[in-house]
Amino acid sequence: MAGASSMKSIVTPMELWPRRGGWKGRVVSVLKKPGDRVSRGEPVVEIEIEKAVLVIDSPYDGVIREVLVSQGSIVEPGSVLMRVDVVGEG
Amino acid sequence: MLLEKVRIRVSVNDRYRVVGNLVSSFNIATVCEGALCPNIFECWGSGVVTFMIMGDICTRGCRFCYVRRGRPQPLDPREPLRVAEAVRILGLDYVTITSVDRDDLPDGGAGHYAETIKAIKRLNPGVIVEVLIPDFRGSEEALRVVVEAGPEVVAHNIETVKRLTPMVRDWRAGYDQSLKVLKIVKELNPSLVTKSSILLGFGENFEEVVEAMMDLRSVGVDILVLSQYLRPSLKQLPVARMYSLEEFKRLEEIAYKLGFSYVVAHPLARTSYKAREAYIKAIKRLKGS
Repeated sequence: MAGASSMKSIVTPMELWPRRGGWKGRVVSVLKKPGDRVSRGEPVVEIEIEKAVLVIDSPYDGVIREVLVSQGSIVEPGSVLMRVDVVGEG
Repeated sequence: MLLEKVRIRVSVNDRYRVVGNLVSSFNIATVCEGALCPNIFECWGSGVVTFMIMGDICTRGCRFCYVRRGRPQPLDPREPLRVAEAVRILGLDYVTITSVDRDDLPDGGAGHYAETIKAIKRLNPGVIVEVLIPDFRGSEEALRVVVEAGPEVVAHNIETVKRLTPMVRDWRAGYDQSLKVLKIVKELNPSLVTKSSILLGFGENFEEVVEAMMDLRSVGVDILVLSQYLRPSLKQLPVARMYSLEEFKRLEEIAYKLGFSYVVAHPLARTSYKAREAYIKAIKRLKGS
């Protein structure tokens, strides 16, 4: 239905290194807060692992409703980072 | 000392998923995953992958490497065909193959390498094959088996400068042994392109890097890869220093003066990174000279 909205989660992608899923990272910056608009492909969170800093993009267009991590949070593949009210899907 | 980490934009596209699903369903290990390589998004996202044959458990314990160490799985005789089939499905015209070390096997896995190269070539006519091989403990016999299978490029890494080799690499590896491997390969087939990588940032000094580059040239290495060591986890060696882009540039210029046909010098370069491009440019230069 055009214009409908639904809640979706932005997670640390499970597919990063698909068969080496045991890594953990530390959130170094949270780039969106509740109420912010977000576009697909826009960076939302930066996670530091030993080898690099991973910049995680939003897979959706919408409005951030909830932020579940803060600077210093420890995350792993599949961790929910934010909840987004996704606009115009479905 | 605070070290500025490299920032990687994570993007998982459809091609990335195709590669991931294929290697997983074919049960083929990849060094992209095994080494937690930060280039995985760029490479898989453009349909490029480096297969890691003979399992994902290495008999050696180099102190920079994230690949699991332990008792490896038995060799799978069907693996060469699966790799060849995966190459066909992905439509690759340039294939990079590496492996874990297999000190448990009498031939170090040379025969399995040869079978894999032959299977790839049989199923994918015209394909160019690059192998990044272990040292096979310097065995000329093992190296002959690999070279005679007909890869276009053979890479073997010295990884670091001479002085730091005992600290960085497994005790069974050796700086001189690795140079010997590269020398034998070139002597067995002088038309073959050889390649080696040096990781920077373990605490080596500039002169030592230049000396290592000269040593590689003295055994006829054609392609040099210079890259920044990045610590995969707290279990590996810490990074002693991050090199600047200017320093990479300076080393690259010296490397060309020393006579390498092609040099890949970048913090995130890895042995198989943009391998096709490096090979094509090296060949052009070799033929032109």
